[in-house]
Amino acid sequence: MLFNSLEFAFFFLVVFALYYSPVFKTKQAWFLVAASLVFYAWGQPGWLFLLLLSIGINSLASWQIMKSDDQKFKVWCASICITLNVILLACFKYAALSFSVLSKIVSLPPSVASFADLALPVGISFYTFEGISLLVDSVKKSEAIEVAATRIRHVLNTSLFFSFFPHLAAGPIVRPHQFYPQIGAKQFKEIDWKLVIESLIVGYFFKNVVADNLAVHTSAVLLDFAAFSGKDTIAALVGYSARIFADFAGYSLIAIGLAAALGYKLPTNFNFPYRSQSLSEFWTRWHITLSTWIRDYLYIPLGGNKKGKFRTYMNLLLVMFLGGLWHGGKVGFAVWGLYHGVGLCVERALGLSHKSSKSKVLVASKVAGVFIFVTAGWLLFATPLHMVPHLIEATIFNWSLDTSYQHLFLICLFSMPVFIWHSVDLCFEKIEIKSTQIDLCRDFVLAVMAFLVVTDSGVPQDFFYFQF
Amino acid sequence: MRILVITLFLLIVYQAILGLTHAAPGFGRDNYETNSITSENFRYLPKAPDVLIVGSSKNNFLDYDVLGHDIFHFGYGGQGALTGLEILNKSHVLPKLILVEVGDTLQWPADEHCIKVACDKWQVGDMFSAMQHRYQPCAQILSIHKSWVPRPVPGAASRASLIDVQQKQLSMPVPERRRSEILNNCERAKQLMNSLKARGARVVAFDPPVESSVANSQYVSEVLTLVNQRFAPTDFERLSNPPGDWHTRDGTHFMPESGKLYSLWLRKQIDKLLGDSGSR
Repeated sequence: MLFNSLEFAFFFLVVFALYYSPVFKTKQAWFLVAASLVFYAWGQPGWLFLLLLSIGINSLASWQIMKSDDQKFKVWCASICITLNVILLACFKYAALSFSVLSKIVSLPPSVASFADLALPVGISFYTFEGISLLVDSVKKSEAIEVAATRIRHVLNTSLFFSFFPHLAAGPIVRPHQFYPQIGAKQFKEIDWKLVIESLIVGYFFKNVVADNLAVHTSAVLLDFAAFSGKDTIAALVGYSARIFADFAGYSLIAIGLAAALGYKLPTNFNFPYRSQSLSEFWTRWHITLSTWIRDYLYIPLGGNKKGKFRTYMNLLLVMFLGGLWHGGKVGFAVWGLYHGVGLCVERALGLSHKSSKSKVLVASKVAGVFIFVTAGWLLFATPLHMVPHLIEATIFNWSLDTSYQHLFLICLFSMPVFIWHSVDLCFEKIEIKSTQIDLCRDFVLAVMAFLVVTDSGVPQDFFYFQF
Repeated sequence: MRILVITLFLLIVYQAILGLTHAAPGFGRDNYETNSITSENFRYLPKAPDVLIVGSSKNNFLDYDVLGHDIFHFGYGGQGALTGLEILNKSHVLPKLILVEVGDTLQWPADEHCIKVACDKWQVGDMFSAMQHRYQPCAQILSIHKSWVPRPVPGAASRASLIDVQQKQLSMPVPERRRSEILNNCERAKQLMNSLKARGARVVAFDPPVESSVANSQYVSEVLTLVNQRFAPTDFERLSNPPGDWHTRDGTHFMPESGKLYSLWLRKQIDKLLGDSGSR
């Protein structure tokens, strides 16, 4: 069930009404788990068992870990369950890649090879990472997770932590210490309506108006690049950059808004990433919940930047490589991860990582530099790896072909909100404006966004990050 | 609350502007929107046209200044005549003369969405024109953009590149499963054309020419053979294209000069056919 579908709107209204009704006053968590399972089963009923299996393994294991005083047992139990989580993820996410590599080495029977064509269960990358963080946090700092009074209660809390439908399909990746303390009775009057309305309007605007419209025009050019001029291809790539942000940030904002309507606060996932002045800053602003997860559970345990320059660079390369692979079993994703890893290493070596500039020209050129680097990297998402050289070649040699003005115009038109969004944050961060002026201005902008969602939404497309 | 009020205010103001200015329908930003707008233009036709052209996007590149703007055309992008025929079949509108594109574009099935937009009993847009595809702000902005930047004529290098890409894509046989789909589409098109004939319309087949290299490609040749299997020359009246060297922008859609020449010829044929109909 997609957040931008009518069936979801109906589903959510029913869930919202029942959730705050007196009938479920004392059973809100149970009700939310049931609703979330219905939400998940709606699109992929066959994969519900996988979600339940993951919930079962992780909740029981984390309960045992938290109740045990034996440190060896804790580590042993967590290690086995983390391995199970990784195997589960690898089986579904990297089956296609593994089988395509294997089939080049040995001939596989068709029944085995067909396993590679299995559809990816929605949300598996997200709930598996949440499972791993639950296990690790249970061992390391169980006080951060509110220990439930009974095992049943812990299973219920964990079920909600995993399956909570606003973040189930594509994050944000929530950490146990952020979610468990929030589980409890919620009241209608406590809803933070400002957060709900702002997040939903901006989220749907980015998704329905910006991303869905850009999807058509950028795909038209990037998939058929031989027929377009180099200028069109460059514009499409910039549009793709705006689209990928609008789609995922839009999704995350919708998730935050829906969760807030149910009384939960999900972490921010995007913080104006395209205004970053360095790559390392970019990674503190883009898909924040994944990058902090990788930092806390991979980079720091590997030694982070505390074990000398060489180890720091190796750690950066390794975590970015794995972060790239998290997106799926395609070589392009791994190359994309390495591309960013190399970028981060070079930036660190040149000492450009965290120096904030005062000169406006320097700030603008740094922001532009990071944007160009990141946008060029999206090529690896937009086209299969083997097509990238052809695309670059066509961009250069087709430079003199006629520009498709309509594509160009539409890409500019629909990319504009993303760049205005970032520019406003960049330009106005230090300017003090009276709060009433800001409120009125913000409400007007939000109303225009809502108006455009109603009148100018594009053809509904799947959320981009569902495929990961 | 203030946001909701401002949003409603904006919607009312936009609706009022559309109503007061009698805004012309805008342009679609992509195939989906363009096709939806074509369906809406049909749905909200003020009066039934005498002549109607049913076919693919090839018809969008005819010169309607020459043909006459009173002719309504279903030029569905990425589709063939089937969508328009299904719509006509469900509609009470019956033009005197219906020109149906019978050619390789019959390989495409009818599009349910376009049919729904044109024929559903109730649409939100019936009550609020602001909710129609053709009055979306983007469609209106595009309309302004097009009035400033007329549809560009591709240069020689671009044309060559586009035609080359299309030729390469069409240098393959029609897959087996597509063959039966094409035959079924033709059968359905014939049924619908016969039904329109039975209702009293004059139904004439035609097929705007494409670039010779595209027409002679393996894929198009095979599709045309299949179409001709189902449409015997005696089934329907048919306009044979005049001889000429037709130039297209991408292999399929007319360049302005060719579009104008073909439209001049087509207008003459239409006049003749209407004259015949009148005297019959």
